Amino acid sequence: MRILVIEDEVEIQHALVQSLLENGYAVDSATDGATGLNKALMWPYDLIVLDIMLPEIDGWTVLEKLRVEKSTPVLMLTARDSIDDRIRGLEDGADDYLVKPFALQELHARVKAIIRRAYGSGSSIIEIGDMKIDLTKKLVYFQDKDVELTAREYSLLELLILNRGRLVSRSLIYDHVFGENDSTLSNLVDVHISHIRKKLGGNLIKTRRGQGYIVEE
Amino acid sequence: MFKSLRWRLMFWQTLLLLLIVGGSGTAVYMQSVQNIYAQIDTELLSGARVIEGTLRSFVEPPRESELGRRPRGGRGGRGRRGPPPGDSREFSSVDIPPRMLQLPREMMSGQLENRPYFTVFDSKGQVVQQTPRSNASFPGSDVRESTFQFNGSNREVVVRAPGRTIIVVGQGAGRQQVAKRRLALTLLLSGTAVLAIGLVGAWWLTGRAIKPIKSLSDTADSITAANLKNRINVEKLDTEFKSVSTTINAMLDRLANAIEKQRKFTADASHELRTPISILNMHAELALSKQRSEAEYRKSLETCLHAGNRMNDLTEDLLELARSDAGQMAARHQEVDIMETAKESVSFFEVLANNRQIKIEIQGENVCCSGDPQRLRQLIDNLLKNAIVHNEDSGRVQVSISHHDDQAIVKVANTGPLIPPEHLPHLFDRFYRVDFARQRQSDLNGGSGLGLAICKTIADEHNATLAITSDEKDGTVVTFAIQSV
Repeated sequence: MRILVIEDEVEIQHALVQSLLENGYAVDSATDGATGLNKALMWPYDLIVLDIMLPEIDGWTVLEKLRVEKSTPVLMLTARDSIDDRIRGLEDGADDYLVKPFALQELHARVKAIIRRAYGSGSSIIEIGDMKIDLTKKLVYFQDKDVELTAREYSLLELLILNRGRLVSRSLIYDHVFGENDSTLSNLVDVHISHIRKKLGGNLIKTRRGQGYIVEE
Repeated sequence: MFKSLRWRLMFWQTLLLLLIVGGSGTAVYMQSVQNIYAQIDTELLSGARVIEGTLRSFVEPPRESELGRRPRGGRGGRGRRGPPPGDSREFSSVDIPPRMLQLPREMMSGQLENRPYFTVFDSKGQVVQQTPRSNASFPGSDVRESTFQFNGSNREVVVRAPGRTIIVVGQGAGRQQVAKRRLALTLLLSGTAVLAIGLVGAWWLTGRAIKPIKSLSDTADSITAANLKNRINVEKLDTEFKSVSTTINAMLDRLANAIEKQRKFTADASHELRTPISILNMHAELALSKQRSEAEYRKSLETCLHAGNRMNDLTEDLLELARSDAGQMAARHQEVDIMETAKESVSFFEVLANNRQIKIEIQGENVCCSGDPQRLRQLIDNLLKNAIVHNEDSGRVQVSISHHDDQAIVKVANTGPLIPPEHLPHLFDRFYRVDFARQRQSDLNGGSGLGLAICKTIADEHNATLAITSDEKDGTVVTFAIQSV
């Protein structure tokens, strides 16, 4: 999953980015509203973490302009917790709202929930064949045994599972599993897929040559 | 009870009414009494004159032709043939034939109890002649002419008569007494009634007069810190209360403003604190979320420390403003050389300036003012710091100190981004931020958003002025002017 963090307070941004990276997300960042809006419109993020007090263009405006074109889930951050602000955020199209200071743990829980909802997945444990995946705990089991996946592998698997029944193109995978700062060797995806197949069996992920991959339900 | 305005008003009103009612009642009474006795007095006096007239005819013997009977020995006197003419010698009872002296017949009609009587006394108090049931007593030989007096329930007149006699004529005055008593009673009753009505009226009037005061106090009661919106309705008030009510309303406005400013300040302050607190918490949580290298822990701890310091600076500034607001900044006024203070400040900030190749120039004359040396130093520090932080790399800061018109003038000018004119009046407000880029610059350098607000407080404490301009020609200039000594 790929997340965009738009936050102007440098220390907070660094903490957010690092924390999300360490939890397996691909993360892009911006320190002002204008840059943030540009990126948000350009790339298909799975979630945008958006601070309200931003230079150039403030958070409300970014949200407003984003919603004209995209329905990317947005989690708003602010240091003001008046009821009016909360209502405004939710009514303007944000999906959730966190008041600073907040625990990083809570941020992660909400991020997961939002992404899950966005993919229309109600439950957080999904079983397909011999594979079981716990989206909340980020654990994967094969034949009821723990399986170790790298962050990248998990991210890729999660993307395919959440899109199960649908074809996921390579470019989609690139867009959602890799950030702007990651190298994009063309066969990187293939390498990850083959690693996953080794660990979870070859039947889980089917290849559609020239088009992409699919996990069937 | 004497603390109550109402009771005092009532007291004085009652007293006044008492005086008026009492005074007029007494006057009426006395006048009436005079009238009541006037008639009887006139009658008595005329009766006394009749007797006096008869007596006089004994003093001056009648002309020969008018002589009537003459007393012949035996009954009359002791051989005297009548008084010698023109003699004002004294009479005695033998001189006058009995029943000679009579009151007019008209007076003698009427009831027995009220029938007039008379007594004629000689100068020694011996009775010369009198009516059988006369109540008169000798009034003394030196009694004044035509005196009216009371003798029990009788009214008497005392007249001096020829031959050094004294005539006392009297009559029962029971009816007059009754009339007098009735009058007194009537006056008393009506007076009391008037007083009572007056009291009730006074009570009601004073009640109405002080009603606005009660309404004022009710409105004042309804105003609490949580509900400062009520005001006294000045429209319906009498003029006397308008001015005090308007004053109270104005005071309430000031109070509401002050409380609102305070509330806003507190809200802004806690908002400002949230950012460094977030930084601290997040970095601590992050560092603890998994095993990390020593270098990573070190870096996290540094970030936390930095955030802690930032909170500390903010807290200190807040406390200072709070103390200043509460008027607790005792001004220790000494003679302060502004140039020297500025020089110290400049040398303190040289390092910060050098980091960005910013040049600080200082010029001017030595001027002194009266003030708190620490606070004035702090003010100049804040101005200098701002001039450096909101400057461009390789920019310039110019400090100039001059003396003009009894005032010491300190100007701190800096190059760098200009401040748009709409922001200029608000720059000394607490936590006012021109834009977020500047905020970040300021925060990175340990700014709390309160620097200029504190400068303003210091200026106010010293009765000095602070002004700021920002234009192409001179850059951004802050001017501080204080009375020189």
